[in-house]
Amino acid sequence: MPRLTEHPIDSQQLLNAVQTTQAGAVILFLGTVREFTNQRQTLALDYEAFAPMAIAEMDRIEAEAREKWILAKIETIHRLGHLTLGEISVGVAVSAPHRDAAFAAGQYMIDELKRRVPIWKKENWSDGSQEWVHP
Amino acid sequence: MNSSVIHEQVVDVQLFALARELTSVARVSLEVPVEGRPVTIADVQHALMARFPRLASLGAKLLFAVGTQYADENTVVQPGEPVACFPPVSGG
Repeated sequence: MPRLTEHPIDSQQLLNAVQTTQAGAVILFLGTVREFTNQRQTLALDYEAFAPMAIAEMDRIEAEAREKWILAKIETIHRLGHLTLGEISVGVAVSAPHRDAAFAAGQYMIDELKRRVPIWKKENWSDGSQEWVHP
Repeated sequence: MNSSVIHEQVVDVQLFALARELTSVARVSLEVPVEGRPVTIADVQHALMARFPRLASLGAKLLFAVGTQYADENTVVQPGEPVACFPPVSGG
């Protein structure tokens, strides 16, 4: 079950949640707040979501991953609110009987999350300006 | 005098991120004219742009959802169904 949270993401909790004796492989992806983008300096990011649709879309992505690969357990979580440098904004953990499926599913899930899930980030640049990020 | 009745469907639209900031509202009820066929996202978009000309800066980039599913311009909006309008997503 995907989650949105206003609180710091506990990466160890994600790993613990997907570990199972059915799995021979566990992968963890973390997205973190990066300081520099094309030489511009970030101080913080603010994340906002259309929460019910974000959860529904994350649910659909998890279901798609399960159709494509043989997986054991999945955890998807996205942080909302004000995040400072280095904090974890998103976490995807996948366990599977074999590593190929775990890696492929993890890559698919974070790529699709970034492409489809209705969440937006606003840059707080070091010059004091703010700017919504959109592709 | 033309006595034809003008029908309207009230559509509740939630706005997010830059779309919310450009309009200064998180939610708006639009009266969308009904023209003898079901109301579509294209009709909602037209009414939204007329009400909030500043949204034009997002123009064709604006995305729409009916309920919690992405919609395109031909998607029908049934009476009472909520619509969401937002810029391209940037999570992660």
